[in-house]
Amino acid sequence: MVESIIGIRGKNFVLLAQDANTTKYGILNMKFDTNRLFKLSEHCAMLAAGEPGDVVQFAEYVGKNIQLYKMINGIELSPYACANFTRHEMATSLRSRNSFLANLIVGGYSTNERDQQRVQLYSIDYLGAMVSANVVAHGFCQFFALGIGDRFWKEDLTVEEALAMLQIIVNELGKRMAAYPHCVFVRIIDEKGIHVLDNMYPEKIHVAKPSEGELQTTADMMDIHT
Amino acid sequence: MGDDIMSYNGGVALAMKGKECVAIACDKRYGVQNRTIATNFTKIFQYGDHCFVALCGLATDVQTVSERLKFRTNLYELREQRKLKPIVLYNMLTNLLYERRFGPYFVYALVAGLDPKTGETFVYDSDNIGAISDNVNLATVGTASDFIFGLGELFFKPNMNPDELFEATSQALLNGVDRDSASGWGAIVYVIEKDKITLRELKGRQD
Repeated sequence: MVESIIGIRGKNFVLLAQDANTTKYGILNMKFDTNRLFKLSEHCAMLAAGEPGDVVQFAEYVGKNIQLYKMINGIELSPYACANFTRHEMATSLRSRNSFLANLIVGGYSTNERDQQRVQLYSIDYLGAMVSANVVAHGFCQFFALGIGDRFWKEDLTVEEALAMLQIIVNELGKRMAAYPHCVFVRIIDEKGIHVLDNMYPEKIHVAKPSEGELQTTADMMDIHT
Repeated sequence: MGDDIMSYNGGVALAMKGKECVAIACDKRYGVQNRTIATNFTKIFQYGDHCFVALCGLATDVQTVSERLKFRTNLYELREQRKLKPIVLYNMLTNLLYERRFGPYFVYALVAGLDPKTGETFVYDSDNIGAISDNVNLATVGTASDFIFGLGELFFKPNMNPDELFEATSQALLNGVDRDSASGWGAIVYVIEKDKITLRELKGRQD
């Protein structure tokens, strides 16, 4: 729940952002460069957050199966197909001996020219409910990302506008989350593939120094030393 | 709400009969308890030219049941070389649900359809373990179903034409979801007639 994963749909790209902390016992920061992105194909990737073991096991299982499909059939699955396969696996495992407590974001760019919507972004929760939206997020950051997305998202977002929106989200997370995200990894997927953009950091919070006036008590204000 | 699994995601659907036409409508909210995540999650699925199913309940099961039903209806059409009738679709759906009698899917279902040759209308509903109902005039499922039942009974008249039917269905749905926090955020209405199917999107209160 404290891990943040965010996806933003742009004009012809998908922006995938994740915080890079690993926390333990609710209080310790173990690692500042955790990777939560799992490549599914050349133009499709998945962000996963939740129970640590389940996340890696499920994500690697799905990723490898999608790569196997490519090896057997010679074509790359579209993000829509990857997301549906992932959802199906999640839903099947839900009522079996091994269910996975992992929330996922699957996003990518479809290389099939006949697809109407080339930029595809899906959110899959740990129960296997899949939905497509313009801004998706999982964890506590959902409270911030979805609201900020409602305010700032618009059709045909450019990369700069999307990064500006993401910076606003990251600043809010830095300001309001006790589990402060020291660093946010940002990746973009467009027709050329998956690229890594510069890390994003929350803005430093400036707090005004308390004034000396506050150090006075009512007793001080009573002039007893005439 | 607490941990009531049927209201975890929210949502509502309704089906009403007219004269040689049926209407089926649902809201578009996808939420997790009190949080709304998306407003494009429709719960109506089409199987065949004049057969529609609405599924309300846990979102993952809505998607799983609709996929499994699609698999069975595809095989039926391939084997039988003919399109589905509403009563056949209904029996397939209730059978699918009863197969999981002791570990059920958390969805309540509505089936609405029309026979294009005779104009006979069908509206059935089902609970989550496949209880069979009669061919009824009005059926609702979902978190706001009680509210919409009341309004639906009020607006329903026998032998409505498609326009009256659309008005009655949409007014019942829109006003019913305003009383339920887990449903709303827009609606879609399918009006199914012998020769055409009209899909209309309703705006409604966006909260």
